[in-house]
Amino acid sequence: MDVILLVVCFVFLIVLGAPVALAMIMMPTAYILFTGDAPLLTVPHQMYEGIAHFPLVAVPFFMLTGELMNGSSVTQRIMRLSRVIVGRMQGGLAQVNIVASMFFAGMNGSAVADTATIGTIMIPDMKRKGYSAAYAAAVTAIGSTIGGIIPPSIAMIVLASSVNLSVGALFAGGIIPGILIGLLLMLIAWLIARAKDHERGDEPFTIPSFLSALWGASLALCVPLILVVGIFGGWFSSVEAGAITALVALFLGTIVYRDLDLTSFLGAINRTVRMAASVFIIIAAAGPFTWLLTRIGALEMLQGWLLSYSDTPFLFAMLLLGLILIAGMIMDASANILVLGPLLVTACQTAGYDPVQAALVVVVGFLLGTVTPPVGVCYFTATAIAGCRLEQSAAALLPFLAVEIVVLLLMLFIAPLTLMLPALLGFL
Amino acid sequence: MKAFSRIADVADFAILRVLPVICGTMLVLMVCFIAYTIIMRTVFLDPPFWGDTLTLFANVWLVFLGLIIAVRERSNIAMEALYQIAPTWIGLLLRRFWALAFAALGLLMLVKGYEAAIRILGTYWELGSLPKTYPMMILPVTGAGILIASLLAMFRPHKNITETDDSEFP
Repeated sequence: MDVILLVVCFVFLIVLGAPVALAMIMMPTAYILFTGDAPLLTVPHQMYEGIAHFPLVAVPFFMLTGELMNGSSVTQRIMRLSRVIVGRMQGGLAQVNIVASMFFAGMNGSAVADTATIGTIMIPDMKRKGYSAAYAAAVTAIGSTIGGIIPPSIAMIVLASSVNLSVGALFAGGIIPGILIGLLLMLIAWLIARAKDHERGDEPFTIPSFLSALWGASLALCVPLILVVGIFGGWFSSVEAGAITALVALFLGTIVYRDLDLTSFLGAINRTVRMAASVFIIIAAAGPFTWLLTRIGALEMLQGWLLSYSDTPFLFAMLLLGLILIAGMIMDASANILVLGPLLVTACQTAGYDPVQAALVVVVGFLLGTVTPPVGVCYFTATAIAGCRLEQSAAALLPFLAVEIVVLLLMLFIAPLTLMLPALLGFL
Repeated sequence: MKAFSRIADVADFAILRVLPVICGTMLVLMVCFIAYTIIMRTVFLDPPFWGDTLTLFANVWLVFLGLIIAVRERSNIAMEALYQIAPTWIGLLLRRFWALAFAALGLLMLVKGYEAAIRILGTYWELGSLPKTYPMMILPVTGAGILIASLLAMFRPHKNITETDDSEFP
């Protein structure tokens, strides 16, 4: 009864437009006020405990890296490289959008930041070339989910810190699914381009132009390389990798490219602070909310229900997927990862899955929630940039969403897809 | 009335101009602490034992102070589809209600956060036996800030006083 009441009240608040974090804090506060089960100081105390985890320090660092890159000419260099590689294909700008998302994924790790950065450049361009605003928004939003899958990934850092998994293992495991999703999204965009007779880009693919674009972006592409060598080689932790990539981005912008001035630097710091605050308020709110769910036995109940189907792997996988997708539709990704993530990883582990594989399925699944209505931050952002109606971009998203769901299923049923690289790099 | 307006101006200046500077400085310091730790560990084989703890606290203070800015700018993640369908006055009413709820949260953090901070036992040896209470004092500080920021958000719409682009932080 308590659980049903909690879910109904929470969904009601969200539908009414309550900030997600506020709704999450209101629930335990009301519970304590009505039942007197615990002292009220539990709420602020749990908020503090939710944030005071060292691995989470990497989050603002990767945000800063992305912002510093955007402040200098790195974004343009990567866009140019993407245009040279895939711009000549049919539906070239949609392909450029997805490829650029894959490159950016290796630098900042935030799906929302990717949507805002790539969307502001690509959506107006795509509209000018005759793509519908809804389609441009859909491609941008779905492409940005790769940002949370290919390392560095803020979502993986958050989940790893709450289930005590190695961040490096999750980073390594995210590489193959991330690239696979990118390639499949490109395939769908190409099929749609053929059906709708979308444009071909005017940038010719020649070896000199490719080499010139690659040379221009080569130093920027060193950032993911530093991450891969540093973390996977055991040289430094994910937090240290975050600080180093931020310093490298600063070095590239100020010394090498010389286009990151003091104003752009301060702007990057300012935006990072604001972005970190809007993510961390949910992390803080997840503390008391998870406390409440544990207190009333909701998490235990959900885990028990899921595990009752563990004898039938296919049914278990379908229920898991359904649960992740539904939760993704009503709650923000970071909240889901913090509140439901540990529970689902434990359930999968009990059902026989490897924890790294389970964690990656959870991360990719909840990231899908950032592009599914009604609570999809990337979907909102891209639609706002494109200036179309929410239901139009939701319809345009459907074929791309189907692809990501297929990849999720593959990740569940083909373990090497997620475990091969972590095993090769010695994390398993 | 004029005095209230002046106090609100000062509070807005503190939240929208001073706090971002403090938070930005903390972010830069965090990068410096970590860089220093890496250099001392890899080059001099003598890593500072205080580096990680200090960085963690800087992060905690940064994000809690950032919450005050987020409340003032109404940049929290929310599903506002209802506001597009419902009449404008319902949207305005609901937004004021959420601001009021944030004010209540601020009050809760101010009073109960202080209580939680002073009750916490122990010290951090790596920071010269710093009592654990001190870092937690960010709870009442944030509480007071959120209380002020939410009252400002209720009575002075943010867009009229700054040029920040809200679409960047949906």
